[in-house]
Amino acid sequence: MLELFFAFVTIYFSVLFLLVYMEDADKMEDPKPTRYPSVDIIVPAYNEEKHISETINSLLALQYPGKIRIIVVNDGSTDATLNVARTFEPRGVLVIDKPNGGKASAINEGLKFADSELVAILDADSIVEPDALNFIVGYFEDEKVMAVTPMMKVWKAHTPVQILQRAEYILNSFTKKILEQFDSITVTPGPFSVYRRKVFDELGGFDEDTITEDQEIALRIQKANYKIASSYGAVVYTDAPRTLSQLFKQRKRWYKGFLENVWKYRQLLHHSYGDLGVFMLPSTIAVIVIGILALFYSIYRILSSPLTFKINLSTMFFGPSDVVLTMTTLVSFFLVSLAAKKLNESNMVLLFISTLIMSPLLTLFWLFIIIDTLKDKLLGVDLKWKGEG
Amino acid sequence: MEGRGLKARMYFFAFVASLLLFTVGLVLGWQWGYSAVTQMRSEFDALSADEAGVELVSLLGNESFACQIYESEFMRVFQKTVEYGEKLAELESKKGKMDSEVLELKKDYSSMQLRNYLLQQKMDARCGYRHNVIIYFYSNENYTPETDEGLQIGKVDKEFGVYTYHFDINVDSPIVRGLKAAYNIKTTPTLIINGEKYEGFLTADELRAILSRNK
Repeated sequence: MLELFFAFVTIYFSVLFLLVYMEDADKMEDPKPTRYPSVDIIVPAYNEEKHISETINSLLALQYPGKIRIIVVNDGSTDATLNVARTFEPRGVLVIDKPNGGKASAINEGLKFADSELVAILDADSIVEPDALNFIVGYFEDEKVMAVTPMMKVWKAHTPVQILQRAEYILNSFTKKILEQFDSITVTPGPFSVYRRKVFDELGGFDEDTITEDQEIALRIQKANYKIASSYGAVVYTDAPRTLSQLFKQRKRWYKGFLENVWKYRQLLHHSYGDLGVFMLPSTIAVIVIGILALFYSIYRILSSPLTFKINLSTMFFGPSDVVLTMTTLVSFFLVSLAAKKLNESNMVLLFISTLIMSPLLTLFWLFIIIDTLKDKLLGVDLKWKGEG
Repeated sequence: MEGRGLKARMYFFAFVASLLLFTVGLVLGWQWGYSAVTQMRSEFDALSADEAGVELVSLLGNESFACQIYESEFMRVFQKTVEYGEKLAELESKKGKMDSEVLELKKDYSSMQLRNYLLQQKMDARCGYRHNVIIYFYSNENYTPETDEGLQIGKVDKEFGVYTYHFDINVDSPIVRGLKAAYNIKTTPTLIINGEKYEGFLTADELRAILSRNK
């Protein structure tokens, strides 16, 4: 009967997101700006000699009517990142060199030079579409909006692991827009999140002690009761991990950072924070736990059912659980296809299959990472960021 | 601190809509299950009629005619019974071991298995055949794939042309009780292979060694 509970949870969230998507359909479009404020774009870079030229070139190609300044902060790279960045100085790019101190310290260094109304952060392994900023700046006409996240896509997905992540990124961007309607975005990712400059004056710069500074700043903005919006139109491509071990390493940092920051901002789990405190943040935690339970349960069912590996079409019989699980899959598929349509992705089947593979894989990662975090806590180990995305 | 909004109405509507979808799924599933049980009953009746037919026809004519009928028709009925057993196991895994309809179907299936076994024994004796026969007593309680004797039998049955008759010792029927008493069944799995009793799990290789002796 447990599978029925897992199915109900999946149906509930899919239906909730679909209802919000339908009710707030008009809010799903990016607002047209009436003005184009000045923007400083900070590019923190650590050992990115292979990517940084493409990154800076994409910024120089931005077709933005307002004033833009590009600030590259070399965070003590041991490769040729600094030399490559300096070749762009004649084209107006400001290059700052500092000793290695982590991504947050590099961004904070860049913030010292930023005096524009808006500040964008762009990881040095990401590139932006020429019109990306134009889709974002309209959101800042709402004075409560302090940050806007872009539509992230995987840059040139070659390996199977990258193809799987492509689907994940699309779904994440789609759901992030829906989470915006709940005022519940809890991360402003490194690839081209844009901030109102004054939020740093008011709340301080990026936290240099956390391993996921983009989650920390987002939760800090939420705690201050400001808004974070999400854009479908502002497309940014990022270099995703190529192998399973690289993916695990990245997720280890993300998930550990999530656990660390949720604990740090546990006071957000309060009714005064509306949907975020009452429903979305508790649900995120609950869904992780339920996902792990569902994974264990599936393994138990596979090992304990006499007929699991006997697939014989002539004896196929569908019981109530099968019908409910089929309906759950169909509802999820509908949500995925909606995301694909909205975000102009043509291969819906590949997207759906990728999602089916990624969900248990990431749940398994969560399990390992929770165990690993507990182990590190007991041994007092610290995870330091060096430069991975 | 300024309070923030709560989409309580949306959570409620989503809950109602999900409950509705969920209920429709369950009702459809139950309806489907009901149809499956009805279909299984019809199939059982048809199989019983086939089996009775083979037995009756084998009474006609001389020995050679009876053995001819046995060879051509009994195998067909036996194969259908095996397929029926697989369907029943699938139904049991979906509806549960304690489902009253499943238990009734399993009682009927046990009686069919016994009738098949008796007919086969009678005809083997009349026609002078020495088929390999396994009577397999099992229990679905505390199941693990490592101790599923059925999987091991499946690895050797075609190789040795084995006729296997399955009996779930937990089925509450006079036939199963009678067989348990006749063979003094105390544990599962227990196999009666060509008349000899083997208690406990046997691997496919062990089964091969035992069945080879009948060659």
